[in-house]
Amino acid sequence: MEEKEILEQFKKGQEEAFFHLLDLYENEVYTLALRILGHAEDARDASQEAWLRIYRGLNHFRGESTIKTWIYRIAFNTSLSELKKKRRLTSLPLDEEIIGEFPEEYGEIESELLNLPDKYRSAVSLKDIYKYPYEEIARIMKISLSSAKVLVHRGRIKLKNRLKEAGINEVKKWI
Amino acid sequence: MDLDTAVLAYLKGELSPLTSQKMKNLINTKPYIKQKVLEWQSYMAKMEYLIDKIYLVPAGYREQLIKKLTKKNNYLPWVGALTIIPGLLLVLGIRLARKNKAA
Repeated sequence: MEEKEILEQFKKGQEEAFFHLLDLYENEVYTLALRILGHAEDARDASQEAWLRIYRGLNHFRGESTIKTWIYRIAFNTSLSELKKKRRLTSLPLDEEIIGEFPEEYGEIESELLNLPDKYRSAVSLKDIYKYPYEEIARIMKISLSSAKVLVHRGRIKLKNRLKEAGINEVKKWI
Repeated sequence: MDLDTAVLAYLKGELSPLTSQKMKNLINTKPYIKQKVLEWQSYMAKMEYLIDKIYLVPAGYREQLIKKLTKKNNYLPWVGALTIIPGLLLVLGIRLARKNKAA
């Protein structure tokens, strides 16, 4: 079923159309939340909260962007709000490093990314994985354009150096 | 523009043809710049790898989400009603009071 059709059906009151959307983007939204939050359980909660918002907002979706872009935007906003909430509760600043043990299934590269301080991880993920322009990153992260550029730049250098230090250089080690 | 930014812009094809040519000459003559290029190429390849990497939601995810959706859907109309009813009563009260005053 195509996205347009899914949307039309949902607007007609056929709520099962929502589950077609879930089938399409459930894993992507979860992965995105994982990259912003750096923690599997938090990613589960944040991505589910994002889906609740998507469900509530779907009737008002006006098609100004693709439905995927709209879903991603909600998922990013929800994940970043959760991240700030979590940091407030633990009193940890956004540039404090998370030293975590990530399941092997994530692989070495993802683990290095997930271990970056929050603000760098979010900025680098948005730019280099999700290919967002700096203006959009600034808007989503509620920071200035120059701050977004600085965060991406510093985050990239940090990640590049970490990957180098971890010896993740040869293709066979990470593919 | 610092060296890292310049190298990345070169690799992404974001430099003007003239600057790009200058950069190419530098890479060929300066080993430390060549090293930077190799490092950033490796970084970009790893990011490309992550673009295609999607993790599956944990077990029980969908069931939990459905529960949350059902809970919200049953709860929201009540919240709405509880917010609207006092408001309506207030408006009615004001109207009645005005009518009585006029009479």
